[in-house]
Amino acid sequence: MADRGTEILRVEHLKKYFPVPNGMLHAVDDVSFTIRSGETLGVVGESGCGKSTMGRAILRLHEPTAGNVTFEGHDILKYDKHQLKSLRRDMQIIFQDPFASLNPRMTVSEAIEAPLLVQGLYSRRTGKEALEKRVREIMDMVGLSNRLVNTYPHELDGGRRQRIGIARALALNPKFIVCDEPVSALDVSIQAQVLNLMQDLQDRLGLTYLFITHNLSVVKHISNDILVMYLGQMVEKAPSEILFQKPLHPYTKALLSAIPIPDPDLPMERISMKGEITSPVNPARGCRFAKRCPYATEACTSQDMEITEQEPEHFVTCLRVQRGEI
Amino acid sequence: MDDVLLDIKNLSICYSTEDGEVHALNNADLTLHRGESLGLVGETGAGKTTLARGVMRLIPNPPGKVVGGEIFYDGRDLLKLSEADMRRIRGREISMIFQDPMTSLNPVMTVGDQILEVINVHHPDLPRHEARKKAEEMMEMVGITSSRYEDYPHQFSGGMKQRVVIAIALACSPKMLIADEPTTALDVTIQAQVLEMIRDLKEKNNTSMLLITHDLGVVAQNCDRVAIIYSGEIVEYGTLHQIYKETLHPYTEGLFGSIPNLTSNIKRLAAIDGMMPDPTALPAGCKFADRCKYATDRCRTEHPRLLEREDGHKVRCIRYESSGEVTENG
Amino acid sequence: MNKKTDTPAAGKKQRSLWQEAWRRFKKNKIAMVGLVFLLILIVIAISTQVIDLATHNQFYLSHVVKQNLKDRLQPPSAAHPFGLDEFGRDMLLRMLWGVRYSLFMGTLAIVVSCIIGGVLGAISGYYGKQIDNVIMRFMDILLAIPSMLLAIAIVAAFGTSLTNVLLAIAISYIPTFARTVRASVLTVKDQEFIEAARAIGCNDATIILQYILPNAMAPIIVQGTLGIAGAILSIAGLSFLGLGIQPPTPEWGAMLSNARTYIRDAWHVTVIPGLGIMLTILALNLMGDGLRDALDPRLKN
Repeated sequence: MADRGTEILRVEHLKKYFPVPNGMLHAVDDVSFTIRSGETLGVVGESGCGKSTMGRAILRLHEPTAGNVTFEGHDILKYDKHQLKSLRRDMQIIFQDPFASLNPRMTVSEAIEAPLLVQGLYSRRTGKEALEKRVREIMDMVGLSNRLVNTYPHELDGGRRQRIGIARALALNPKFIVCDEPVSALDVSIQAQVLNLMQDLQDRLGLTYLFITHNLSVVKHISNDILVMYLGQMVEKAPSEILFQKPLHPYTKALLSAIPIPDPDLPMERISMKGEITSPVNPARGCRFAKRCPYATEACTSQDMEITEQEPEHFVTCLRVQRGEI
Repeated sequence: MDDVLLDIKNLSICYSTEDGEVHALNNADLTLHRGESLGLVGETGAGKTTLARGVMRLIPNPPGKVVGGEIFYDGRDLLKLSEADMRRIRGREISMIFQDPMTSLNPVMTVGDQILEVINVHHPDLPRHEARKKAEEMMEMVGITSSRYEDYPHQFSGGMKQRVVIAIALACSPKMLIADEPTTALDVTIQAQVLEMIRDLKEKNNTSMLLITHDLGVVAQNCDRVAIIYSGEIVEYGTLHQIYKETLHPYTEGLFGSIPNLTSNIKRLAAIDGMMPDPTALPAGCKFADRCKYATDRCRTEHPRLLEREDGHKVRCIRYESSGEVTENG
Repeated sequence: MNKKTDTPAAGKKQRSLWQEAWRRFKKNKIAMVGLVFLLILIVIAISTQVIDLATHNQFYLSHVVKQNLKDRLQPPSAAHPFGLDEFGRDMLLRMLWGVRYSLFMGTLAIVVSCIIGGVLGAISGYYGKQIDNVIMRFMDILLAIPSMLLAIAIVAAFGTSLTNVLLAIAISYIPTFARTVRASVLTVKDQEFIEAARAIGCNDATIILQYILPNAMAPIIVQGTLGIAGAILSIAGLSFLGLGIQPPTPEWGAMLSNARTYIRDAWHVTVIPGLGIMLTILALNLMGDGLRDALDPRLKN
C-alpha cells in the first residue's frame, strides 16, 4: 500500500438532515473519510442509505447540516457564493440517470459548452473557434463522434448520453469528481465501455473519484478503498481487496453474501437478515443495523457509535467488533 | 418430448412506429421443460419483455403484432386460442410477475383483497370465507403475516410489495410463471430474499419458470437452462453449465467479459464495442457481426441459423457450422 | 446554433423537440384545420389594417361605418353575400373589419397576462416557501372573483375604453397563467439536469431562463391558445353588455348585441357575427388541443 498519493479531500463528521412532516430525516449521519489524489473511493449501500445525499453534500449541492469538508487544505463549507462558483471547476459530478440529467432542449455541443461559458473560460462572441475546438477535444476524449455535435439527447442511447454527462464534468478540467451511480442505468455491455472510459480518463488526467453505487461488483472493480453505508451511518471502510476478503461488520458480511455470483459452481451462502428496517426519521441512538443484526446486544443501541481503525486502513463502526467479541 | 411445457417456434413480433417497423422479436425458438427454470438473458431492447408478453398474448395491438410463429403450451397453440380461452389460461395456468412492484399493485385496494380477487376470478364458486382463507394462506406463504390483510400497498416496502405481487401470481397455483426482471427494482439483500422465496415456492408446487433478467449472477443462482437473446434473436441456448462453462457465442462471451468479477482481479473489462443495431433497420447478416471480434465478410451477408450440437447446446453463429458435431435446426 | 464546422451530418434526422412537436402537430388534421382558419383570420386582420392605413381611414368611414338606412336589413344577395345590417351597412365588410378587434385584443390581453402571470408563477415555483405562499394566496383571491364580474367592475369604474377592456381581461387571466407556469416549473425544477446546471456554477437567472422555462413552455403555449379563445369570448361578452367596444366600431360582440332586436325580421344580422365568434373560438380550441397532444412529453418515445 506504499506510495499512494497525497490527501485531496477530507470529510469529517458530515451530517445532512432533512425536515420531513414527522421529524428529521437523518440522511447522512456522521460520516468521516479521506481520499487520496488520483484514487477512487467507492461508496456502497442500499437505496435510501444516504450515499447520493452524501455526494451532493460534499459538493454543497445540498448544504450539509454539520461537519467539515476540506478540499486541498481549504474548508469549502466556509466558501461564499463566488468562491463556490470557482470551486465547481475543481469539483464536478456525474449523474446517475443520463436521461434526466441533460437538458432536453440543448444539443450535445450546447450541453458541453455550458460549463465553459458559465465559468467564463470561453466566450461565444470573441472566442467561438477556441470554444468549438475545446468542445471537439472533450468529445474526442470521451469517445463521442464529432458528427453528433448538433444532435439532441433524446436522439441518443443511454451509453452516449452518459458520455455527454462525463464530457460536461470533464470540460472544466476538474480534479475531483463525484460519480453518482454513473453506470447503473446502462446495460451490461455499455456499462463495461463506460467503466473502461472512466478508468482511462483517471489514468490520463489524474482524476480522483468518489464512486457511489449499489453494485458491489462494479465498486470492487473500480475502487481503491470502499466505504459501506447503512441508513446514513458509515459502517465500514477498507481497501477494496481487504473489504471483500475480510469484512468485519455484520452488515457488510450480509451484503456481500447476497451478491449473486455469475458462476453456477459457486453457490451462494446467504447470511439471512431478519427483522425490520429502522426508520431514518428521528432514529434512536446507536447502531441502526442492530434490529436486523444477529450479533446485536443491548449495548449496541444504548450508546453512540464510534469509528475506529481496527486494523491499518480498516475502519469499522461495530461495537462488538471493536470489543473483539466477533 | 412429453416433458416440454412451453415450446415457442419461430415467433416473430413487430411494432409499427412512426420511425418504421420495429422488429422486436425474430424467429425466436425456445423450449421450457416441466418443473424447470429457464433464464432469458439480454439487454434493453433485445426483445425479452416482448417475448414474455407474446406468450401471455398481451402485445398491445396496435402498434404491436405477432407476425408469425407458434407458441405451444401443453400441446396447444396459444396463438390459435380464443380470447375467452386465453383469459382462462392467464393467471391460472400461466402467471406473470412484472418488474416494478410499485406500479403493478392497485393503490386503492387492500393487498389481501387484491390476492382474493385473482382467486375469485378463477374460482368463482368458491365461498367467500374460503377464498379469503386461501388469500391469507398465500400471504403467509410469501412471508407476510396475514394480519396485514387489510393494509394498503403504500404501507409496504418495495421488497414486501414484490412478495404481494408474487402471492397474486401464485394464488391459483399456475403451472408456469413468467418473471420479468422480478428483482431489478430491489436492493441486493432484498433481491436475495425474494429469489430464495421464489425458488422455494417453485420447488414446492413444481412450477416451471421463465426468468427474464439482464443479470447473469441471478441466472446462475436460480436457473437450470439459459437462453441468450440479442436483437430479437435467440443466439445461444443450453444448460447452465453449457452457457457458463462452454460458452460458444461471441456475444455471450462478451457479456461475461463485461461484468466485473468478484472472484478475480482484472484491471480492465473486456467490453463489447459498439451497440445493438437499430431494430428498424436490422443488418442482413448476423445481427452481432458489427460488434464481433471474430466476424468475417460472410457474417455480414449471410444470416446464421440456430445450430444444435449433440448435447442440446444451441448456438446461432457460423463459426460452429463446420465443426462435425453440429446438426442443423431451423 | 448552427455550427458548420462539423463533419457532414450522420444522415440521422437532427430534430429539436420543437421540430418533433411540429411534425406531430402536422399529422393532426383537425388541429391543422383550426390553424389554417386562424391564419386566414390573421391575414384578413392585417389586410384590413393595411387598407385603413393606405386610405387614411377613408374606405373604413365610407363603407364600413357609413349608414344607408334605406337598404337596412336586406338579406344576403349577390351584391352583398352576408346581407346588410340594421343601418344598411355591408355585413361582409363589417365582419372582415371586425376580425382584428377580436383577434388582436384577445391575443394582446393574453400576452399581457401571460407575461405578468408567468413571471409571478416562475418566481413562485422556483423559490417556493414564503414568496410562493404570498403570491399564490393573492392569486387565489383574484381567482375567487368571477372573471366577468371583475371585468365589469373594472370597466364600470374606469369607463369603457379599449384599454380598460383589455386590462380587465388581462387581469382576470393572470391567476390561470401563474398557476400553469408554477406547476410546470415545479415539475421541471426537481429534475436532475437542474442540479447538473447548478453543479457547473449556473446562477438562478440562468437556470430559470435557459433550463426551466424552455422546458416549461409546452403547457404555457397550450394554455395561451385556449386563453385567447376565452378572452375573445369575454371581449364579445363585454361588448354585448355594452361595456366593451362601442358602436359603430364593427366588433362582433357589439354587432351581435345591436342586432338582437331584429332577430325575428332578419336572421343574418345575428347569426353571422355569432357564427364568426363561434368558429374563431372553435378553431383556437382545436388548435390548442392539437398543441397539447403534440407537446405532451408523455407521448415522446
